[in-house]
Amino acid sequence: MEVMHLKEKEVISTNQYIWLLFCIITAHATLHVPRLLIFQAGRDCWLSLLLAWFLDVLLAIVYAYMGIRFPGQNMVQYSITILGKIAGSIVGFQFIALFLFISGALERGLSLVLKKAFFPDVPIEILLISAFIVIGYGTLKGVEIIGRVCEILGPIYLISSITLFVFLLPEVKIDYLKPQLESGLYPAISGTPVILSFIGICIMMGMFQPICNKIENAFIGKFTAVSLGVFVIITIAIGSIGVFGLHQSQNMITTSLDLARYIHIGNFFQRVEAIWMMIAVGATIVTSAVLIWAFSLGFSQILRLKSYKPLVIPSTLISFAFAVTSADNSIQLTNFIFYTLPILAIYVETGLEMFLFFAALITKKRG
Amino acid sequence: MIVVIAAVIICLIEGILLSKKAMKKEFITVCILLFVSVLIQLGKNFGIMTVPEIIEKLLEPVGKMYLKRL
Repeated sequence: MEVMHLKEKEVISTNQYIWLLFCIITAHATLHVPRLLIFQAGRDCWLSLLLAWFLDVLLAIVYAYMGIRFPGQNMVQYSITILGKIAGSIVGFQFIALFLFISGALERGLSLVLKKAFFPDVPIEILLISAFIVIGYGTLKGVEIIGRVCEILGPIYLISSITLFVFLLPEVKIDYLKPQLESGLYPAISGTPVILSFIGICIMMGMFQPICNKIENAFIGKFTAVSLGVFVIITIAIGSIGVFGLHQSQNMITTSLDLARYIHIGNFFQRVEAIWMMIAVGATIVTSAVLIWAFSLGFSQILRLKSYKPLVIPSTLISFAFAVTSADNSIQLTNFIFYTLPILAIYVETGLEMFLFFAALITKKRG
Repeated sequence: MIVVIAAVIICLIEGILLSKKAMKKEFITVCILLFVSVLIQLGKNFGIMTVPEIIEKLLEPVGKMYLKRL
């Protein structure tokens, strides 16, 4: 199967690749995910995170292998190479449709939190329009520019998250974290798919790998990004239980925001939720831009177009339409994120990729 | 409503740009994507099930089987 190459040739460095993936995890970590994990796994959430990290690293091996077996091809392209034009396009489309879908849900989640916490009088549509104008502009500039932005913002996010946790340490009561494994291993194991489905969005590595300047660094890059991302989520989850206790943490909407609000040193250093807002807004906008870029690129490759750029703004509008029309309030959105999204995400992230992996092995196809 | 207005404006702007470059296939794809976004918005306005709602109806019971009740 001949692979269609677009006229745009974008290249990102290994550093940009790592920070892009890290920003994707950070975007989820700042919103609803830690709370949902605590709700499901309780005090054993750290164990869920470690299990999810392990499974995600195993999955990264498969993605890295496929990237090397089909050099220069992303997952949409190698779906077509392995399964043929029609079946491959259907499988490839499912990957990119998930990206578009998640970008809408992510922005909806962010706008609901921002409205509730910071802008109660601003209509949610205004927040969404502002966000999507930036997202559309960023996506039009291409992944190289987004990568450079992440290279600057990613380390700032990591340092900010660690700093916030350090400030919280005096407030953490270690007794709140006990007893561990109170209900056996089931809570930790059942929490693993929940968190895996969110850090699993890093299957975006399958889109980045062909444009990374050192393809051999794909696995180690993803390993680094996921390890850093999981570390950030562990600090939020443990910090939240340690400060607020299990039951209060389970009922918060965004634990990370409440943690940031809790920080104060004397009467002069407080209200650091502005740092949280900087991380949340920046990371979700960058993540949505990358997800829409992946959709536009993948869709143009399925249809064998000359360029993906004309599809960027219409794709952004679809994502905006998803965001505007989905969940009317935080409860609906949380229900959707908790019960529906993990099943959908795991089917695409793990199920489809493993199917392609075995199909490639059985049919002995190579790029 | 805002999605419909945006779709019309984008269609006009992209249409002029793409017709100048003779990119007919790209223009048709752009129109299809814009049509999808309008459909999503109209579906919500007329109370027709949107794609996220259909997915939710299908998968939520599966999630509820093994996850705690919120």
